[in-house]
Amino acid sequence: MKKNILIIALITAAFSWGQDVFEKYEYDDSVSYFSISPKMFQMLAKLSLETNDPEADKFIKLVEEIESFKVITTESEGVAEEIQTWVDKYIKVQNLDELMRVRDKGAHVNFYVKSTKNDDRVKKLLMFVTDITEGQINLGDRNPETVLLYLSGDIDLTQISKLVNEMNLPGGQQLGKLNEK
Amino acid sequence: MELKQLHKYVYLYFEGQATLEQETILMDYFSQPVVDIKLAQFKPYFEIIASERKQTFKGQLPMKPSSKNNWRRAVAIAAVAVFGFFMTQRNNTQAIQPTAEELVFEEFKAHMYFVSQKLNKGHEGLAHMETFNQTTNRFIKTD
Amino acid sequence: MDEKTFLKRILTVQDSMFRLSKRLLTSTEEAEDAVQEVITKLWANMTQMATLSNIEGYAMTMTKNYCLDRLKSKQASQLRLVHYHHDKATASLDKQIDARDSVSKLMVFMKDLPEQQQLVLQLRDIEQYDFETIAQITEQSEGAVRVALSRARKKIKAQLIKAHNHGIETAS
Repeated sequence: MKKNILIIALITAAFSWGQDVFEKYEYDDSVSYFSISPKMFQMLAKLSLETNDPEADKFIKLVEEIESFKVITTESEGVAEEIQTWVDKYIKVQNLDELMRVRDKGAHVNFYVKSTKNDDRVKKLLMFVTDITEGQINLGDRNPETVLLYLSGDIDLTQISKLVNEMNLPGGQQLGKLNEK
Repeated sequence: MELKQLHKYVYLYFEGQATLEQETILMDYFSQPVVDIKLAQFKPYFEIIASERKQTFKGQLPMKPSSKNNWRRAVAIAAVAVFGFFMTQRNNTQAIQPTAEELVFEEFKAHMYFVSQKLNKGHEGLAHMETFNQTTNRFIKTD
Repeated sequence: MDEKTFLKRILTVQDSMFRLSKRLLTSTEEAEDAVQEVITKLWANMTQMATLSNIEGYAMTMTKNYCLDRLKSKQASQLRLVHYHHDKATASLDKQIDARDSVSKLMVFMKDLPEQQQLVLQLRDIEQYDFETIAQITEQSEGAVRVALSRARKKIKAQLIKAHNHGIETAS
């Protein structure tokens, strides 16, 4: 165990440097956090090549294109508001274009992108899902969810769009069912 | 080991000047049932050390990833379980337990499907991907 | 770092974490809680750290800090007092058996040592870390560590001699 004080200090410092909303809520109990680091994507790229998974081919390209991935999900209204505020600021500061807005069964979905010269490819993708529940009674086991998802890299949007049309994985079918509730 | 050496090490030890090696030699010496009469008074401490070193952690490791209100994670984990089982039916040498990378991969896929679904909802009714390309930077609202 | 690697590395250091926690917090239950808390925090941090070569040292440092924080909290110190008094009571009950008495007496004596010295004794005598490592974990200079160890060992020696002489006196 030698020369590691500096590394520990750096890492400790990194935890308190410039907090984005993902970092802010990473350890918050009211938020579910999932992220994939650039290093992990490299490992996943290797995994795609080794596995017998027929689905993996579709994802090899994606995995190679995406640099980092973060997603936070919360049922807390307070946190949802904070995320909204952060998103508004982030779009302005980063100069993101609004790609589209979707209303999908009681949820608002907003897509923002950092475009490139190529219309198909984007450097950043921000997906913000908010549940519209004002005045509505919640039925079933689906609680109102706010989701903020962030991708960065050299991303082909059409590739992502195509994914849903080729659902063979059992998980994929479940995904469809859950969304149809 | 000469008794004289041992006395020296004991002296150094209680000055806090002994090396780890010397300390190990002392521990070995004092683990014997009978020691030099002049050193016997120090034995209790080394006995304490010996018994303390034996203590081990008997609790549970808290290794559940946070999966609060995230059905996508549950789906991903189910997918891995099914996939893993499927693979073992084909090839018995493969382990059922998914690796961390496989778990992450499945979660990643689940989330990508989710994004894809929403993207597609956005341009339902648009016949071709080419149309989508042209309208990438346009504000589209669908009800 | 993936979960498998993390678990493997934690397995090598969890006992040391437990022993340190038990030394500081006295109660086995508290010590186990502490280890679980620290491991949970460490794992939560894992997505940020691709590879941390000295995860063992970091785990021990976190354990130390967590336990010292706990000691400051009221609840923990009440538990400590209960166990401390229990140790003292046990020590007085065992007066017949000379060897045991000197051991229990010594353990009670050790609990009275300043926290810093107890820490250093734990990391040096029980965990057998070198001074550089102890300095990292206690977040102090090597010099301070050596001084603390020297003082602690001298006190223990004095106590050992005292107990031994007392034993001789009572025996005669």
